[in-house]
Amino acid sequence: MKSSRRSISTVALATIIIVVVVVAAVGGYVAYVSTRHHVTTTTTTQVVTLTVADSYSSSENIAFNASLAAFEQKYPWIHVKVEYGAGIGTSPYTSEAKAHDAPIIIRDSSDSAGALFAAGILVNLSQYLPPSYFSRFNPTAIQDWTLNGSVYGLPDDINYIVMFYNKKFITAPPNTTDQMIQMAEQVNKSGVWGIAYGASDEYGYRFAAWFAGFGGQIFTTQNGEIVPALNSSAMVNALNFWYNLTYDLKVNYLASSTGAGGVEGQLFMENKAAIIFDGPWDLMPYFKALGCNLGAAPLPVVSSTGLYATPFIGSTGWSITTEQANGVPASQWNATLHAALLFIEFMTNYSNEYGLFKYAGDIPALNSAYNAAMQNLSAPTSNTTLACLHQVIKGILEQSQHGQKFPNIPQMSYYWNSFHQYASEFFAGKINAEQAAQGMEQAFISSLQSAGYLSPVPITPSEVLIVPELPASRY
Amino acid sequence: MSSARDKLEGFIYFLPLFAAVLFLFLYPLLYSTYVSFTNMNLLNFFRHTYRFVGAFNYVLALRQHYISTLLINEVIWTLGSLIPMMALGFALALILNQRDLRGKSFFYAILILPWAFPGFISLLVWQGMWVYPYGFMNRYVLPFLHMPTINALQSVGDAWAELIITNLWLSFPYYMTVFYSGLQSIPAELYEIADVDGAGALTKFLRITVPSLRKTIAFVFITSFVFTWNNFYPIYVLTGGGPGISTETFIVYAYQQAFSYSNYGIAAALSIISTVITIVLAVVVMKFTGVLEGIT
Repeated sequence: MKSSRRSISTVALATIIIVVVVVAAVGGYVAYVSTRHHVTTTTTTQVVTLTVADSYSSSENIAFNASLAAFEQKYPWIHVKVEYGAGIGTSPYTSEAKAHDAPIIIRDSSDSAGALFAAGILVNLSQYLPPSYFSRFNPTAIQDWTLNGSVYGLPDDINYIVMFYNKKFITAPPNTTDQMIQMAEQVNKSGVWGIAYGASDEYGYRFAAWFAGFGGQIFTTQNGEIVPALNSSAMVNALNFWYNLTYDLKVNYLASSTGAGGVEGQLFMENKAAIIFDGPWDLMPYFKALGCNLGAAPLPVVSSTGLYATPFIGSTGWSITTEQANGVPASQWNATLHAALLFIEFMTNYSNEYGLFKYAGDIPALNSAYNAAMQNLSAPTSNTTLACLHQVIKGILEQSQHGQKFPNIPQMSYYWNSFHQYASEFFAGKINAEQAAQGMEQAFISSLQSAGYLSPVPITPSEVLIVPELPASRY
Repeated sequence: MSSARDKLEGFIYFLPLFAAVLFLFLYPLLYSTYVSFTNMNLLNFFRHTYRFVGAFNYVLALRQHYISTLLINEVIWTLGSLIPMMALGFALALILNQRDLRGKSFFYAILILPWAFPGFISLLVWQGMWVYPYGFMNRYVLPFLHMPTINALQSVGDAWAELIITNLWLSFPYYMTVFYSGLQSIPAELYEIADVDGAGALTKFLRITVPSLRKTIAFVFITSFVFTWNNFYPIYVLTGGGPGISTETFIVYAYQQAFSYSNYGIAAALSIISTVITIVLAVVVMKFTGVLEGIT
C-alpha cells in the first residue's frame, strides 16, 4: 500500500514537472514572440519599431550612425533597432522570412536582393514611390535595382572593381593589356609580383570584366529564353590570357584570397605586388598602407580585341521586406511600411550618401551627392594627403565610364559556382580552356534546368567553339 | 494494476528523452526527407508553391557525373583522415602510457593544445599557414623537413595533403586521449604476468594491449567514421571543395546546393543519400569486422 502510494506520488511529481516545463516553454515562447513584434502601439501615439539589418563596414557605419541619429531626431515616433554586421546575400534572410521574422529593412547587394524580390520576400517600391523619385539616382544603379519593371530597393552606392597600382613600381597606369604585361615584367625583375590576381579562387565577379574585354557576355537570349553564353571563344581567350600571365610569363601571383584582408591585398600593402584589381570598399586600408604611392585607374583595354575590360557596375542599397516575411501584424503594417519608406528614403538622401563618400569613399548613387563628390575632388587643397586621396578617387570614378550592368536576374545566382568550379580546375591544370568553357556552361545550364529556369530541352551552344588566332597583340 | 502503473511511470520518465529525440533528430530527418521529394527552391520556398516531385531529385543527383567524384572524395577524405589520425593517436597514447616517462602531464598538456582552440579559428590560422609560398608551412616547416611545398590551387594531390594534414592536427588529441584512457584501464598485472612468462614487447602489444582496447577501438572507429564523413568545416574553409570539385564531399556539395543555389530539394536529396551510404557502410563495417561485439 505504502509502495503504491509512493509510486502514485512519483507519477504525480513527474506529471507536475512535465506540466511546469511545458507551461514554462510555451509561456517563454509567447513572451519571446511578443517581444519580437516589430510594432508597438501606445494609447496616444503609434510608435513604430523598425528592425534594420545593416551590412555596412566599420568606416561606412560612421556615416550611417550619424544619419541614424538624425533620423531618430526627425522622426521620434520611429524607433530603430539595428543589427550590425549583417551579411550580404540571400541566405541570411530566407530562413528568417520563412519564420516570418525577417528584419523589416535590409541592406543588401542588388543581385542578392533581386533573388529575394523574385522570391516574394521584398516589397515592390514602384507601388509606393513615383518614377520621378527614382530618376534622382544614377540610371545604372536604378537599373540594378529593377526587375521586370519593378524597383525593389533604393541604391546607396555604386560599386565595381578598378585597377589599384603602386606608384613606387608603376609611374603611370597601363592603358592596354600589352602595356600592363610589359610593366609587370619590368616589376617582376625587381622581385616584386607585377600583378596579384587570384583568378582560380574567384567566383567570376572580377573575371566578368576580362570576359567582356575579350568580347564575351554571360547571358544571351534564344527563342525568348535567357540562356548562358559562357561557352565561347571569348571565355577561352580570357582564361588562356590569365593562364599565360600566371604560368608562362610568371608575372601574376595566383592568390588564394582576395581583398584587403586576403593574400592579394596583403601583398599589395606590403609592396610585394604592383597591381591588383579590387573595389573602392578596400580603398581606405590601401591608402593607409601606401599613402600617396597608391594609384587607381580603369581596367585596361584588351589589346587583342580593342575592348575595355568592363567590370560589373553593381550597387548596394536598402529594401523593405514584405509583411509575410517580417511578421508585422496586418493591423500595423501600414504604419510600419510608412516608417520603413521614410527610413530608406532618408538613408539614401544627399546627406547620407555624401557622408558615405566622405567617410568610406563609397561612390554615391544619388546624382546630387555624386556631383558634390566630384566638385569636392576638383577643389584645390593644400593638404597633400587629401590631394593624393582625391587623385585616387578620381581614378576610381573614371572606371564608371567603362562598366557593364550587373545582371540582377535570379538566373545570375547560378553563374558563380559554375564558373568557379571549372575555372579553378583550369588553373589547377586539370582541364584546358575549351573544356573549362564547355564545363562551366553545361553546369550553368544544368543548374538552371534543375531550378526550373530553363526548359529541359537541349540548347544549341550559344557559339560554336572555334577559337580564333588572336591578332597582332601578344596575348 | 501495479504493472500498468509501472509502465505508465516508465513512460513518463521516458517522455523528456522522447521529446528531445523527436524535435532534435526525428523531425529534422523527416522534414529533410520530405523536402527531398519536393522541388523546393528559393522562388517557391517562401510562397509555398513547391510541389511533390517524387524521386526526381534522387534520380537527378544519381545521374549527374559528380556523384561518383563525390563518393571517391568521401572515401579519400574519410579513410585518408581516419587511418593516420587513429594511428597517430594510438602511437602517442602508447608513448604517454610508458610507466617511466617523466613529465607525462606536461607532454599531455602540450599534445592536447589543438583542442584548446576553437576549431573554426584553427582552420582560419591553418588557411594562412598554407598560403603558397608565403605561409608558415610552405616557407619553414616543409622545407625544413625536406618535403615539397604544397599549393592547393594548382594540384589536387596538394589540396588533399593540405586537408588531411590539417585535419590530423585538429583531431589527434581526441584519439590520443581516448586511447590513453583505454590503456590506463588495462590492469598492470597482465603485463607483469606476461613479463614472468617471458613475453616480448610485440607479443604483449598484440596479446594484451590490442585485445583489451577492442571496445575502445570499435567505439572510436565507428563514431569517427561517421563524424569524418560528415565533417564540413575543414574542406569548406581550406579548399572550398576545389580545385573544381576535386575535394568536395556530399555535405559540402549539399551545402552549396542549398545556400549558393537555393536548391533545397536537391540538397536534401544529397544529404539523405549521404546518410543512407553512411548507415550502410557502418552496418557493413560492423558486420564484417565484428566491432559491434566489441561495443556490446
